[in-house]
Amino acid sequence: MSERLQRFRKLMAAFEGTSNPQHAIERGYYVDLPNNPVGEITRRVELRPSSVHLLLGGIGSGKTTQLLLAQEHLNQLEGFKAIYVDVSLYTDISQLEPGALVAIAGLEIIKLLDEIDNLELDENQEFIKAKETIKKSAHGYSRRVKVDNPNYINFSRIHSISKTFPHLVDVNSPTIEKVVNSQGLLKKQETEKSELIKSFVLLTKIVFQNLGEITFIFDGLDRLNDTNIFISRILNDLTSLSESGIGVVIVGSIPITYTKGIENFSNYLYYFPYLNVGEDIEAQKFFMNILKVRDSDNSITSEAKEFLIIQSGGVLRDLMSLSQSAIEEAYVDGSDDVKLEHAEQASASLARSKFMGLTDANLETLQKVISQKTFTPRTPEELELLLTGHILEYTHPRKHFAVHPVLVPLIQVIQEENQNLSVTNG
Amino acid sequence: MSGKNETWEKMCVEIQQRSLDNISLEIKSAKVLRAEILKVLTTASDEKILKCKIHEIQSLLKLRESSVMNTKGYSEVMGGEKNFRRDKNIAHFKLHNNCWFDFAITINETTKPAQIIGFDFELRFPENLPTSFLRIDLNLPNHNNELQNMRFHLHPGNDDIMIHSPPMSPIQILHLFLYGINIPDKIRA
Amino acid sequence: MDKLFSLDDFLHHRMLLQSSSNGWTVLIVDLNDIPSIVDDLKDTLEIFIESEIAIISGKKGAKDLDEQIREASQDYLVIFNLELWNEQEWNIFDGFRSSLDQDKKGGFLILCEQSVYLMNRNAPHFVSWASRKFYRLKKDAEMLTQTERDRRLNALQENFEMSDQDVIDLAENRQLPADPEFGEWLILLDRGDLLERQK
Repeated sequence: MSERLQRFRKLMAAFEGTSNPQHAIERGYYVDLPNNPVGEITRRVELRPSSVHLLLGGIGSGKTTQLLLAQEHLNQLEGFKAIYVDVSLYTDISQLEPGALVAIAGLEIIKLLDEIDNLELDENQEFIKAKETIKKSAHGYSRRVKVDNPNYINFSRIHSISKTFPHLVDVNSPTIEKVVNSQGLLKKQETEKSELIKSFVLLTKIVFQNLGEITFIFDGLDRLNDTNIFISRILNDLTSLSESGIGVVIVGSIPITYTKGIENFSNYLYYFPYLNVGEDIEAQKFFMNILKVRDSDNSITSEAKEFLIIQSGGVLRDLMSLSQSAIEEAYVDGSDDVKLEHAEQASASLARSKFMGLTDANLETLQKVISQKTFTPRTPEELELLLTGHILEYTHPRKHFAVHPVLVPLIQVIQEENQNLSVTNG
Repeated sequence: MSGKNETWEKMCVEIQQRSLDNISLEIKSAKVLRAEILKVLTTASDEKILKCKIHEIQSLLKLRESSVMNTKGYSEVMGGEKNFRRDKNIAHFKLHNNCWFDFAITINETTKPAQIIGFDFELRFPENLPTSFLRIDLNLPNHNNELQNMRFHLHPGNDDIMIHSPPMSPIQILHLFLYGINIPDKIRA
Repeated sequence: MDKLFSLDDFLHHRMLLQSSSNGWTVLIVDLNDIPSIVDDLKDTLEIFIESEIAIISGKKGAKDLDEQIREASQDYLVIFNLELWNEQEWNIFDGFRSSLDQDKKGGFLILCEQSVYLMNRNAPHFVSWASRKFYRLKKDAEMLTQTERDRRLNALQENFEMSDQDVIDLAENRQLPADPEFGEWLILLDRGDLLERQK
């Protein structure tokens, strides 16, 4: 392998956007976010261990990284245990059932308690039963039940026949045994919720005695875009968890922000905005630090870095993606470093992929946001543009919206073409 | 003047058989062979052994398929344009030592695995060298025994002079061209 | 408007750069070309990434795909057959994108344009996470063009002072010279079948 290829591979790996944020933190790439909520969450959990914290933010804004940091900080507190769970690894989020979060929390607590070397606990029948209930509720089980026999003929009226032909009576009994599969809360809708909650409460009592306060950090739920499902299916679980003394940190997506009554959903609400790299010097510095930490050899020119930061629109993941794309362009070009022209090609490439799937109505909305600089998301289509990152919401210097920077030139070109066309035809 | 000699002809048969016995010309497919060659060439380009850029390599390395009865038939992998006149203006691969080359490989894909049945690789040396080229050929299989006895052969700077060559696969010949030929700064008298 | 990449382009540049890190890529191809692109990838990808590849069909839907992905032991996955997926399937796929991050080195989604539109709208988390590595593939870029073929035939005709028909006649009479150039000549004329006759 050439030295050049090795260098470029190393640079690519440093900007790998799909890698586990945990790896990024471990490799020392993490740069402290301005106004990050981790400190606040930690302090509040310490004061109110069973509080519910809801983190709302856009895709690629760095929420998972913040959750992992929150876990790290909480685990440093004495008498606290924070458990990070990606709910999507446990169950199909699109079919999340009420009780599922409690079941997941129960399974995690069981794992913790199973690691404790405590003979008394191991022999505690209530504990054993509670574990079984949690597992059954979570994963489902098979059981034999008696159901009506559809072929039953009432021989009781013909007593002599039943005496003469006893085998017929056996075949045609009023009920038959059937195996029924209960698929559990993590797979399908069949709730034994009250049993689940009872068992869960018992487990939490034991865990408090043995390990201290517990906070669950549930990630992945921001992929539930249907706000109704988010609220209806998760809210009760959060209440159950909180009432059991368990703290919860949970993430939600941008459209949830616009749901009525969302502020009542949790004890504390944190909004994770995209950073306004266009106007906020602190945000620009922060993004520049991220690039510098990952590009320790200065293979990306300053000009290219500045361009990448602006074009990212303050979306952390897009910064990674654009950087990688620029690195690729530089390598293909035979260049030894990543220049502005490579960054420009990367931006054009991201614009093309973001553009795919936009409807005429979407384009019209985006054009309006560019020209009128106002946006009030009301319709599902408008909320979708927020969710997909075509329109970005900022809070600095005040709350406002902007079309993702990479898309702006493309949309303006289309607008001009349309205007020229109407002039020609008109 | 080269005359026929029975002993030499017998020796040719032995030499040729030894070559065929000691090399496998089986490959997965023409496409796979082309991909393997692409990797060798682009690695050499990365290492600055090959002076061609990646996109040049891609435009020079081509494939042609000829089907037999609507199934996989015979294919050709071609590297560089056909250049009998050894004209530098015709597209070719350039090396760091100012040598340049092109090649073509014929593959029988009617069998599984596929088989390389013929190739020609020609490396041209810089002008200050007394020998202008080296060509390594594998002739097509032929029912004519005499022709069969010289399948693997090379032309040491002359189209009419042929000598047995060691049996080498296309990938090996490529490596020879890329890494195996050292052009000295000062040519011995 | 869109930049086209040949399979070569993609294989070499992107794979040599990405083979040391986790990455997901979307290859956009014409609907009818999907099966042959999958075949080509199957054959050639392993040469570049020096790792085993699993070819996975999404025909049975997103949940089944999730199962297959979890069970696959290979480092790289090529996923195709997603043309029949509707918005809901893409939504479910978006939900389980964390499965794609579990010790896998990387993967490729082979999609037609319509599927990309649906994915963009209904799997925004996956799209963002996959870093929008979308490449529009230009199929058969490695094949000889008509012009290139004609140039090669002219060179052969000039050098050997024979016409195409002369060569065909020789081959039909089992008189084809053994020089390797004649094998190429027949293939350029799409008469590779005549090489069979020389055996």
